[in-house]
Formats: sequence, structure tokens, C-alpha cells
Amino acid sequence: MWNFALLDTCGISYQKNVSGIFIQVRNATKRAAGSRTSMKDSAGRRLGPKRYEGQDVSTGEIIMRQRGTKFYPGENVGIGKDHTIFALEPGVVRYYLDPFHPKRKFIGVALSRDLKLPSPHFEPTSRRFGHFELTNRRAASKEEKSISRSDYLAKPDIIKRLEGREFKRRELQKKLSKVLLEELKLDIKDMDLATSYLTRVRASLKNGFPFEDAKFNSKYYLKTEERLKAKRENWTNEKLTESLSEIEKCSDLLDSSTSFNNKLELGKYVSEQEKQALKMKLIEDLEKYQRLETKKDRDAIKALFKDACDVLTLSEEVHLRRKYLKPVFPETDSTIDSKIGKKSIVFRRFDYIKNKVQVVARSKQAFLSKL
Amino acid sequence: MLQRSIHTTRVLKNSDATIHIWSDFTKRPSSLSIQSPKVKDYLFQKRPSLDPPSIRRRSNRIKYSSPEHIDEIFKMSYDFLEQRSNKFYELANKTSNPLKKDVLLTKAEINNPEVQYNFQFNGKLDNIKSIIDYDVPVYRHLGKQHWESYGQMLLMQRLETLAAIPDTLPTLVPRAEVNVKFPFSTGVNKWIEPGEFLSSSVTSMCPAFKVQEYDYVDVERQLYTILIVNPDVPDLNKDSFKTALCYGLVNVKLSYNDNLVDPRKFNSSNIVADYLPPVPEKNAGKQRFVIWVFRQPLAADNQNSNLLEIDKEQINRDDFDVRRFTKKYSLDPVGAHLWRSEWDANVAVVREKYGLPSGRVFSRVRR
Amino acid sequence: MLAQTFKKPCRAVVERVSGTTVFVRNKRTTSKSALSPLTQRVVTQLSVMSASRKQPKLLKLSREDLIKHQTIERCWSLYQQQQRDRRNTQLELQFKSIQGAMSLLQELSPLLFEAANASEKGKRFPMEMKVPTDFPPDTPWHYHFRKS
Repeated sequence: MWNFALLDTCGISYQKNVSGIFIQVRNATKRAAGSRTSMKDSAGRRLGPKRYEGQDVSTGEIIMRQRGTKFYPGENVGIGKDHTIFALEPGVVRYYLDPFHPKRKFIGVALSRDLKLPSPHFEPTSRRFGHFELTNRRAASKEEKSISRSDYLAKPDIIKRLEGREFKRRELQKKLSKVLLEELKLDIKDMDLATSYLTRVRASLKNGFPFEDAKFNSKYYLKTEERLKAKRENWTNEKLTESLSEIEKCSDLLDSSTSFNNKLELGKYVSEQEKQALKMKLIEDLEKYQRLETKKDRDAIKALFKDACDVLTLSEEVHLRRKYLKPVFPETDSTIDSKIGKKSIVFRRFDYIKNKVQVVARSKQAFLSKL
Repeated sequence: MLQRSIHTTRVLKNSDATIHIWSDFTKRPSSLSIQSPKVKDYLFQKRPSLDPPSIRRRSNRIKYSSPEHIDEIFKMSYDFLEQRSNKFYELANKTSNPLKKDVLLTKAEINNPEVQYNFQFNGKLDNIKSIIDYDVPVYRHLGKQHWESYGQMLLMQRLETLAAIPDTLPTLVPRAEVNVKFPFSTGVNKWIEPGEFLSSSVTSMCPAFKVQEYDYVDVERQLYTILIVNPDVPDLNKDSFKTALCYGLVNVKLSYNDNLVDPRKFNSSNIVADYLPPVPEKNAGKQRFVIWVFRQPLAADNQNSNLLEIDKEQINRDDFDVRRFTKKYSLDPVGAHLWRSEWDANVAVVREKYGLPSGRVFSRVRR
Repeated sequence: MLAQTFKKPCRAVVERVSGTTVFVRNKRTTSKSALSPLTQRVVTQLSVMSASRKQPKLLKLSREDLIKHQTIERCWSLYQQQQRDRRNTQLELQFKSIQGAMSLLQELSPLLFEAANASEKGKRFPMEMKVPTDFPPDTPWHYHFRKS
């Protein structure tokens, strides 16, 4: 019945044992028997509610341990990375349903026992302040002075820039007062008031407010400062009205006798009609110089533009300058040299129509800077 | 189901016989036309082979070529739409109901390319009356659409996420666009985004509001109330918060175009509560400053005055109840805005300036 | 001979193996771009992911032409709407008139009404059904037609 060939392949020797009795050889690598699914049960994870409905909790107490969000965090409650729900405020635990999320169960903490969850949708939310006032004066001042690390690091730079701005402002005020006194020769009683008004108007103009708004904003700022000062120092009504009328007078004087040009430099007052008239005249004058040929022409135009900043807005001035002071004049017969001379300026460019490089020679009359 | 059938080319009505309603400015306001003659000429191709004036640089203008035959088709479309608009004008002339009239006038002009050009390429918030005139129904309609496309949604998101609703008022149906800037304190010309953190120096002086109405309102009679409330003032007795009134204006009159509410627009009789700047105390957290704009109730007949009489003495500024206030004077909230403030190093300066007592200091850690 | 037409930097080569031409795609010998293959791969991946691939190209129109374009679009949509409305009202009218005629028929002769509304279920190609043609026939009706 035994197939010897089979036995041979099994590695069991039959020749040695003449009697024909097999001796079982147990190799080192005999596999032990065992079930595939056993040994897999872990200890219980101790899940489930830790605090029940109506129980008091304090901040940080765990209310529920769960796998997944069987319960969602409701009001005054947080959720951990393993979906543990914990209290964020001291109060009473509430398990509830929210009509806005009909498929979810919520756990929340009501701040007091008489409050119901979910809190009414259109009512103000009940919140706990939680901080207490520091009554110890030293502790309070210490706390008030403490700033965050990033603020602390940024502070020196901020102060430096603030001082830089202050310095610039003072310089500007000095310059303005010089203009007021020496150039315009105005009779101003309170120079500080005048310069602070003008610096504010200038800043407002720079920030893009219309002129009327800039004037009003500056005046209102000064008046409010004055009113607050009066309130602080318990001024009488007369004194306040007097100082307010002082501001009014000063600003009126400045509005009627000074104006800022488009470079934001202070100068003599130019009314709107005057500006229009001067602008028309300037354009008329510029029209005469359709073609610039000599240095004299160029200087004449530049002279015309010298005072243009008082009359024109910035965009108008740029527009006119571009129109009448072109750096390279258009190619006309007079500005193109037919023969390349010693003085002509030669450049090469590609002609897309003829598909080849073109050599253009232009006389010096073609360039504004070389006239 | 709809199939594109072959259209028989139908000769449009002889243009001489039709009425050119869109080029007639005797009855229509001039803001319905494009101001720049260059642009207008290009749009209607008064001269052939013009370059688009909106392209500033010459080289770009040379490079640019407009789509083929756009002018012929535009001309045809313009005539078609103009004919349609004519009908709406006729209907509008017949109706007496101002609401219906507004709708019809909007329909008559909404497809006008000049109106679209004016609205799309000009400032909508700081509008120039000669270009975008909100007195004209069509511009109000377009303005509302523009606001609803972003500004209104942003505002509602901020109001809800920062819980200004329902901490101050239960809810808001936004109808008027409110914008805020602080032009007096620092002189910076910037509209505040809802919910932005502002430093105490910026808010040290009263803000200016721009309240833009888009709906049809009786501009001559309608008055507005504006309140700024802070629902985050610590209340140590209750270990909670109370609401403070920071600023209160009543009986403010606005119009569709002239609607920037700054001290030029009102006097001391309009002020129910002087401006108190935000001065948050140390460690008291972030404070929300919610601006509410209300339409005041109109008197039943034209004779009675619409002015609201509010007793300043009765208002408890430190513990202000906005809900009761609005209910008492039957105010209709139409717009809101908010900014946030926190303690900063400048708060002490502002307190001193306004003569306020130095602020309390709270513990850093909550108990 | 075919193989000669494709010279070196070409990837595809046609080889002649025992009388049949076989198309062999070789490795690219010259790189198309100056970038290194690694960088090129990153560039390709980024360009595939970029937002510009996922949206139609923006019309590059000047402001005025954009307004013209919008006007034309609006006009076209309004015109189509008009056509649609017109067709719909006509269909409605037709339906109403057929309905009126049928109800009249029902009143006058219920028998004929029944016959007219008889179910044609299962009658896929009725005898009287005409073969659809592009144009009506020259003689629409043979008045003297006799079935021979």
C-alpha cells in the first residue's frame, strides 16, 4: 500500500529500518497549532459618559469618551482629537437635540441650572466673563505693563518709526510757518494752531480726500480736541466758544489766503476761476510751440511749466508735459536725415513690413535733450 | 425641445421712423449717458477705424483689434433693445404707483450700454453724481445687485459668526448698505471692512457713516437713527457682560446720493449719546462695536412731523437695552456694520483725552 | 526607404523586418525644451493643476468692446426669449382650438368622437401613413385614384 517512491520523497528512510517500523522525526520548524482569530481582543477602552445629564461640571472635565462623534459638542463644550467631549465652562451637563441639526445628538454645558439647551435662537447668548479684577495695585500695574513677546520685539522699531514721523512733522511745520511768515506775510496769532491745521489738511489731501472734506476734517479734529480739553480742564462756556471761534477764524484765514499745489507745497491762494483762466492761458501759450526746434523753445516751454503745479492738477500736468515735452519727436522729414552725416544719430530697427533691418538716421533736432 | 429654427432675415424697421429714446436727454437724466465724448464716439462708431480710448498705451492700441463685425451687430442689438425700452417708458408714464414705476424705469434702462458702461467702470461706493446717480432707479437696481453679490453676504457672515446677531438685535434683513470710516482721528481715508480690528487711536474720534438706500423710500420724509453699541462690557456683579451705548444719532435725513453722515449732516439736537471711543480694559477680551441703522417710523399723514423725541436722561448708556429701545420707538433695522477693538498701549492716552477714569485690569487667566 | 525619411532626432522609426514594416517608437534623443527632465515634469504637473486650465480663457476685450459684447449677448437672449414666448402662445392657441373642436364633436356626435379617439395601440405603421418626404408632392392628392 505504501508507495516507496512517495516515502522517499517524504524524506523518511525505509532502508535503514529493516523491520519496517517508521520513526517519526520531529523537525525544529514544526508549526504549532492555533486559531486564526484568537488573541485579538483588547481590554475595554472605558468609553461612555463620564458625566450625566444634570450633573455639575467644572472647566476641563471630561463628559464623554467615544469612538467617532456619537455625540456632537454643543454649547460651552469642546471636542478632543479622539472625540472626547469636555467642558469649557463650569455649569450643568445637558444632553439635547438641536432642531437645526435634526440627526445629531449634542452635549452641552448650561451656565446655570435654570437655562435650557439649545438656547433660544434669537435671544442674546448667555456668556460668562470669568476674569476677576486685580485689586492689588502693584499686581495690576505689572499686568497692565506686560505685553506679548512679539509686541515686545516689535516695540523699538515702532517707537523709532514714530519718532521719525514726529520729526518729519515738526520739520514740515517749521517749513510751513516759514512760508506763512516770510513768503505770504500773514498776520497769524497762533502759529502752532495754523501749522497743525495745515499739516492735517495736507495729510488729508495726500490720503485722497477731496479738498472740501480735507478742510472740514482738519477743522473738526482741532475743534474736538479743544472741546475735550475744555471738558478735562473744566473751562467755562465763554472760554470754549472763544477758542473755537479762534480756530474758525484761523482756518478761514488760511483757507482764503493759502492753498496747496499739486506737489502739496503751500503757496498763495488761487481761486477756482483764476485757476481756470491760468490753465486756459497756459494751454494757449503751449499751443504756440507745436514744433520744438531750438534750445530756446525748449527752455521757454520749461519756463511755462514752472508754475503749472499751482494751477493744474497732477494728472493734468503730467498729461500736458507728455504732450508738449516729448523726449523724442515724431519722425518727420525735418527730423530724419536722408544721408548719414557726422552729427546724425543712427539707430537700427526691424521693419516688419519689409522684413529687414532698417537704418534710421535722425538729426539732433529730433531729441529734446540734444536741442 | 427648443430647436434653433432658421430665422428669415427680417429687415429691421426703418430707423428714421423709430424713436431714439436712449439718445434723447431732454426728459432723461444726463447721468444715463457716457460722459466722455471719446468713449461715446467709439461705442457708436461715429467715425470708422477708431481705436478704443480705454487702452491708454499707443502700442497696445495698435496691437488691439476688436472682434469682426461687432459694430454692425451691436448697432442691430442696440436698435432692438432701444425699441423694447420705448415700450417700458410708455408703460411707466401711464402708471402712478411709484414702486411699479421704478421697476418699469429700471427695465427700460437696464440694457442701455451707456448705463452699463457707467456702472461697470466707475466707483460705486464713492459715486460721482454725474456718472452714477442713485436717484435714478436703474442705478439703484444695479447698485443693489452689486452689493448683494459680495458686500451684503460678507456683512451677514461677519454679523453671524461674530454673534452680533443675536447678541444685540435678534436678526437683520439687510436693505441699506452701511459703510464706515474714521476720517477725523488719523486722517486715513479707508472704508472699514466688517469685523476688522481697529486700534484705539483710529477710533478715538467719531466715525463717518455712509448709508446707501437701494429700495424705494420716501426720501423727503424718511429719517434715520444710528446707534453704536458694545455688547461686551464686563459686568462683574453678574460675572457676565452688558451692553453699552457708544454713540447715538437720531432724526438724520439722508438722500440717495448725499448720504455721508458726518458732523456736517447733523447738529447737537440729533445727538442722543455723545461719542465715547472704545477703551477696552486690559484682559477684558475683544469687544465688538456694532453699528445699527434704523428707519424711523413715518407719521400717518404728511402734516405731522416725523421727528423722534427721545429723552436723553432716560437712556442708560452703561447698561443699554437695544431691543427695548428699538421696540419703544418702533425703529426698523435696515443696515448694520461692526468693528472690533482690543486693549492696546494707546488706550490710556484715549482715556486721558476723554477724561475717563483709568481702566480696570483683569486677571489674565479665567477663573 | 520610409525609414530614411525619418532622421535622427525622430522618435518613431519604421523598420523593415522580413518584408513587413514595423513601427518602432524609440526613446527621444533630443529634449524638446531647455529644462531638465525633472524640472520639466514639475512644470507639466503644475500646469495641469493650474487654475487657468480649468476655466475658459478670458475674453481679451477693451472696455467698450466688452460692453458691446454684453449688449449683443443680452439682445440675443431677449430675442430668443421673444421667439420662445411667441411659439409657446401659438402652441397654446392651437391646443385650445383642437380642444374646442373635439368637445364640439363630442357634443354633436359621440360616435364620431369615439372613432376619432380610438386607440391605435399596436398599429405601428398604419396603412394611411405617408412616407415622410422633404417636400410636398407635386400632386398632393389623387382625386381619381382607384384601387385596381
